Amino acid sequence: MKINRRQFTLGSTTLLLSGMLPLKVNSSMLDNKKNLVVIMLRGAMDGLTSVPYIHDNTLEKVRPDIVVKKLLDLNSDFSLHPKLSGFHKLWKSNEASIVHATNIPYTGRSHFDGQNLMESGGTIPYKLKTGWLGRGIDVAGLEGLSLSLPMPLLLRGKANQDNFFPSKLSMPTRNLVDILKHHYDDEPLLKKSFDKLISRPISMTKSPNNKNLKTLARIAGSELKKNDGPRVAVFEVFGFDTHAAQGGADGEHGQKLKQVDYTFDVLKKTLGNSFKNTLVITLTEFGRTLVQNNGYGTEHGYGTSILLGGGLVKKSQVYADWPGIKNKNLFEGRDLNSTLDARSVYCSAMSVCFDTDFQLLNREVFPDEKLNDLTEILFKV
Amino acid sequence: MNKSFFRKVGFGLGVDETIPSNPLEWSISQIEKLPKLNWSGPIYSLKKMMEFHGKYNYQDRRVLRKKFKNSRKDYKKARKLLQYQTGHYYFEPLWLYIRHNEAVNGSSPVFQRFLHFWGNHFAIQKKNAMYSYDVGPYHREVIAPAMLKNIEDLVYEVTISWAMIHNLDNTKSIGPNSPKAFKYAKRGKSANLNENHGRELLELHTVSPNAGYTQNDVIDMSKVMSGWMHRIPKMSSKIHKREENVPVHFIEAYHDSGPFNVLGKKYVESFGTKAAREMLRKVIKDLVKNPACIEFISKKLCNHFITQDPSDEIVNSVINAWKKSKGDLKIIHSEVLKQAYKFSYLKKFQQPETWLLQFIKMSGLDYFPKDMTYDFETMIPRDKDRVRRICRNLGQLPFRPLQPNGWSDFEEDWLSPEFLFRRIGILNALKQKGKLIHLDKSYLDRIIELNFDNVSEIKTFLEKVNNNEESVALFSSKWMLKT
Repeated sequence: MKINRRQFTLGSTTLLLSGMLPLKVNSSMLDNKKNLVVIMLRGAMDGLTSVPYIHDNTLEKVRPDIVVKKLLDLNSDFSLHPKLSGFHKLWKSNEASIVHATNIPYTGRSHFDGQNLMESGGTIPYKLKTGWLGRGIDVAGLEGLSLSLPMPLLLRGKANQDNFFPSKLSMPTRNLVDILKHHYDDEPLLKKSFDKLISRPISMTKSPNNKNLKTLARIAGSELKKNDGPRVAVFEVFGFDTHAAQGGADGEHGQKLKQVDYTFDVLKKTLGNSFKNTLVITLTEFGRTLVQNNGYGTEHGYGTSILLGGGLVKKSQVYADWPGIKNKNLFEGRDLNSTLDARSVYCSAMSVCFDTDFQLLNREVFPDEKLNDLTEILFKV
Repeated sequence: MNKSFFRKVGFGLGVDETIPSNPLEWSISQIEKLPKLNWSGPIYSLKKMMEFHGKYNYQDRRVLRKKFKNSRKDYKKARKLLQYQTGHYYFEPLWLYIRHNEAVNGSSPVFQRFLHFWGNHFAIQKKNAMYSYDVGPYHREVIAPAMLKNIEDLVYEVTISWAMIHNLDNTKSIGPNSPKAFKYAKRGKSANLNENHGRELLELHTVSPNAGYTQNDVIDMSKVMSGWMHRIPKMSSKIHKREENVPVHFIEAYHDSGPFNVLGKKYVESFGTKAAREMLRKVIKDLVKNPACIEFISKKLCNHFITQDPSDEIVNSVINAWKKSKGDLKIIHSEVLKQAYKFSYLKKFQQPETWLLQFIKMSGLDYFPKDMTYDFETMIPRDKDRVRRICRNLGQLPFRPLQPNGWSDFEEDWLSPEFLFRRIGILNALKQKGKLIHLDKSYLDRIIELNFDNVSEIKTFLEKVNNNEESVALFSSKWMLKT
């Protein structure tokens, strides 16, 4: 009854590759298994707080109470929030980069429409019922794992993805499992979830007590590290919607960035040598306004930044067609503009991590969109 | 008769109940008046809760952090004690047990289902421990009574409630054309709006993005809302020692004087505090008449109670009831019930908490603690906190959705391997602890006969099950998960 994960992975990969590409799966490919980790930052991460523009003193003027001090050096134009110290270490070892002034092509400033689009990869909210990562996984014939209790839209596709969150609960007897397996036959979603549930590896049936992000990152790291484990993992960090008390280095936004930072950190430690074949990338619905409000926070904006870490990052760089943050440069006179469709970054990331042609992914995952192939600019190809 | 109706709009029937001869009448009679609370344990008012929450906030932020600024360990110890004294860990389970008791043992489960719906529509996201103190009483005291009025009253009362004003930061908003903004300008400071509440009032609570509002509409809606804040109007020299936990007032000094343009209509404010104060009500009155609002909320009600993909016929019936009654909630709810009855064969995947309550009611599970009193000195005992652990395991702590759009009504958002595992796993854990031992064959037969139409199909299904797992099988069956 139980499908062994190794067999399943090999089976599905071989099937797809043999149908589409003249390649054979061999042990050296498995040894070089590449992983993609996406950290979703819900609530709109402020790109100007995480990676402030320091070339002039605009930020100090417009954000007198929340401008971040004691920044970490990146280059002459940009610095890094001090809570991203782990990420900064990666930067120093050429394992981290930043894409700035970017966003999905959405300007409506609604969290929920924005989050739907950042996950679906579409342009009309709620139109697509699957996520860009799920569709990418389908194209590449891989497996994904979400470290969250719900299954995020991002990972939904045709294939059977898994989600996991630690608990002390256990399954009923095999007799009942077998009965339920057939019982759900005429309910496609129930069946899909149940089939995935009963094919979990043993390691995922024993849970630690602790459910914090560090533990989740550790679980993800150890699953991704396995040659026959999933190649994609998704995390969620909530609470970036800082209309009030956004604060400076120690404020609310900083605390959230700290969580992102230790996710990078724990993944690096847990993945060990496999970190060199891994890419960790952030995703958020939009950025925040340039100017602070009365509550020491910021409002919904447009352009933001993407953090990238891992051995697959080409080099330490802030990649941006920087629009500037003077009044005349702002989107609708209030937000950092976006000069790069963030989906180009994500499509390129999938192309590298899934060893799949960029154009194929562009066509299948983001149909009707002409995205830029950034694989050679951002990643080790 | 389609017995799934009792689960579609309620929590099913317990084994001691009889099948109502007129299910529709049974359901409609429950939404016509505010049900008397069945709960006989401790209960606190919203006013009292704001004192508890205020004490916690003030003591933590102003006293303990200063006093123990050099010792994090001592600070944590003192804060823990403060948390006990203010019931920080006690109130959420208490509110949950009260909510669950009203659903399972109360006289009006259908009313409770509507209360759960509106509580989720006007969700208070997980923020500032509001789930610990305020959300339960906010549901009971703000939402429940307004459910018997007009939709306009409900939206207005929620909008100016302390919980929502604080949740969506309206206190931080200053109208750019307000006396306060002019004072700021004189001092060389800028005062600006906080758009959070204005935006969500349009997007989540009334017209939805389908209305095609623009950023300017959001800004003007926020201007209309400016001045509604939790702040004592004339602060005396004596510190009130409650931080933000003070009642909401309309303070004209912070209110923008307009004019306002919201969704194509111009609103000009006449002179005086009364006119300024009434502007929000005027705008809400128009918002709830907007066809986009009527369609958005009607469809959401159908999604929640009937099916996630309701036909135009179903939604239009609710829309028409809304329009004809000019937003009378009793009429709107009654139409939802009529449609749910008429289309009770349509299936809807149940949210985890609804499924849990149906399971508790139908199984007669020994679930409620005998005593929910608390000493306010020590950690709350595990048995009194069980409800929170169960809800957390199921992935739905109803008073703390992570985002202001509340919990989803869609199967895709609830059906994942882990979510499904949690339901089956909880049943399995209860069985292993002997909590389902009373569910013998005759008990299960009674449950099935009261709550399902396909009695013989279910019985045949259960005959295949060994190891005394029939109850686990029944409550994890597709007939229970989708109603």
